[in-house]
Amino acid sequence: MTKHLFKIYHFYKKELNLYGDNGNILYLQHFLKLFNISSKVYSINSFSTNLEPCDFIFAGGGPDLLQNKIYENFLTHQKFILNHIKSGKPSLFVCGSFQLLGKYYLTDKNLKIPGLSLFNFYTFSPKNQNFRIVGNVHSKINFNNNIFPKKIVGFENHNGRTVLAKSLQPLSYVDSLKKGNNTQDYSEGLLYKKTIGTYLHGPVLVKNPLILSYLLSEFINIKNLEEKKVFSSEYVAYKNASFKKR
Amino acid sequence: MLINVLLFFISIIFNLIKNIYLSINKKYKFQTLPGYILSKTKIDFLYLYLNTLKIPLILITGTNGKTSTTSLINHILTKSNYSVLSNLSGSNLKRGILSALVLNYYKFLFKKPNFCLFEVDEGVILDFAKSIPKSIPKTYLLLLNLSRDQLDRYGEIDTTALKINQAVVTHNITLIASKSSYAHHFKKYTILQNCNNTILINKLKINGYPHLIKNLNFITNLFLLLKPYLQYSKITPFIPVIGRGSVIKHNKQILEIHLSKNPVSFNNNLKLLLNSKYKRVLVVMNDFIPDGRDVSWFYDINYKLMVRAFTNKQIFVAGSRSYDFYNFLKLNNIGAFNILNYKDYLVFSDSLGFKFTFIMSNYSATTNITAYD
Repeated sequence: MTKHLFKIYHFYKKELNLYGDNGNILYLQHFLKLFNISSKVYSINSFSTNLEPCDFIFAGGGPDLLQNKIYENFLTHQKFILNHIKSGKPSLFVCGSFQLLGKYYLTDKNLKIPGLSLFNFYTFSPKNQNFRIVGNVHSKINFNNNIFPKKIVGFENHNGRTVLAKSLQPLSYVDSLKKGNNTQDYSEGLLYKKTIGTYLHGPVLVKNPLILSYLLSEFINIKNLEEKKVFSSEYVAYKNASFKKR
Repeated sequence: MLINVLLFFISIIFNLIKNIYLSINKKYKFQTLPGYILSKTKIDFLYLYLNTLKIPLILITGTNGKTSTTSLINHILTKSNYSVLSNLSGSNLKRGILSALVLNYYKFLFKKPNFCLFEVDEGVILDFAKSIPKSIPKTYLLLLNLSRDQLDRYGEIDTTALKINQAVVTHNITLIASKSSYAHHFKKYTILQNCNNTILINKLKINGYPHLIKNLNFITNLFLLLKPYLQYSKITPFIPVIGRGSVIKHNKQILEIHLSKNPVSFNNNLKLLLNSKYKRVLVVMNDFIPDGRDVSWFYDINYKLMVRAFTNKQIFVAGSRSYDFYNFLKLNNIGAFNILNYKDYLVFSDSLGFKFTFIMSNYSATTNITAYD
């Protein structure tokens, strides 16, 4: 029997990598290797067409200027990404690419930029441009799950405010209205099947390996994690980031 | 006249406090306090003082190389018999500049300096420009580079470039910058030209420092506009600024310290390491306020370059974010010893008789290391 090659699609690696988000791919490959799963990363750029199905989709965040550059091309992959998400395959969208999954982005000059409309949410840029949502985040997972820890950690830095429809489930809840998706509720990110949208950088998978174990639960034996000693140093870094008082 | 008398007394008071402070503390950590106190008075002392001087103003900004370039300009000009008022301590926010001005006031009591030379943080250029009086004959701004650094403080690079442009346009500043991805934000600027700097490079003896040679080009471009009379025969070798390639000794150990605070400076230092004979590297990473709280920038380092530079070397990591860096190395298949603390490293390396260490440290870590010396 031929061994399955785990196909990772990395969208716009060059343009959407403002905060070290490419480290998520580095960690994903490291993690798969620990479980003897061979993987290959395919870089999806503005010239990529007719995409074949894959096992994992990842896209990061970038400066507004570069996000605008890839935006129209991203729309051409709408159906492909929708099928991937609906089929319950894992995907991770960080910051700018998370915003693009929604219905639209409303700029501070009231310009409405349509998104992929895969989910019922929108993002707006506040009139007061001086208040970015910036800082370390320790947010609480909002559902019972044996895989996730109670808290996840990361670093957010964004101007856009994302408002989820009530039918949607955030990834976690922050403890302050100055953090998270917006300044109106305590939500952070989005969770749907095995798709995660989040504002957390860090890179988020390196800081929270248990998120990755959740996303890959169909491919790996979760009970095996301790034997593999996957989290020894990652766990200390996680603890430093989440519990240290400063 | 009144402002001069006022500044004279303020200068005396703060220098007295500084001396008392130093006699108790021994470590010099007084750099920004006078500026901090004066900035609370709502009087723009910087504007008032500059208004009395009426001399050319040189500002150095950018993500990397500000302190070294400022120090290099100061070195060349002072060796050519010019007197320069500068913030050489590296405190480059408005309060740091104001402090430098107040603490050094007495030096220029009877003879005005020829130039004001300030290193200014790229994020506060616009705010600083508001304190430049119209009486200043000419203001030059050298923008060395703009790259990802402390995005938690400044947001995106384009935002910083736009603020610099606003300062340049509204305050009639001559901007010298290279053609770059952010240059389209500048309505008016002098494009950096390549100059032959061989004589200066040899006089300054900076052959082993590519980043200084690169920034020397900005300096010669500035001199083409400023036209100072340089006395080449008097220019002596330049000693790197503390933490920018400087060397400290601890017992029998030689420690060469390189500030590595963002992907660009880290990559530059990796290149230096590649061409050096060092076999032992200590990386110290903190996440205190001067460093920015975000450490994800590790992941924007050139991985291939790092693997090449770290191959066949013993790597040690320390600092409040040592585990984050340790994990980053692990993902790149680089083994490292996590020492956690710089002082522990010194004890450890003393006991094993290590002699030479190449240190790469971010801002607060560099300050701690040099203060500990």
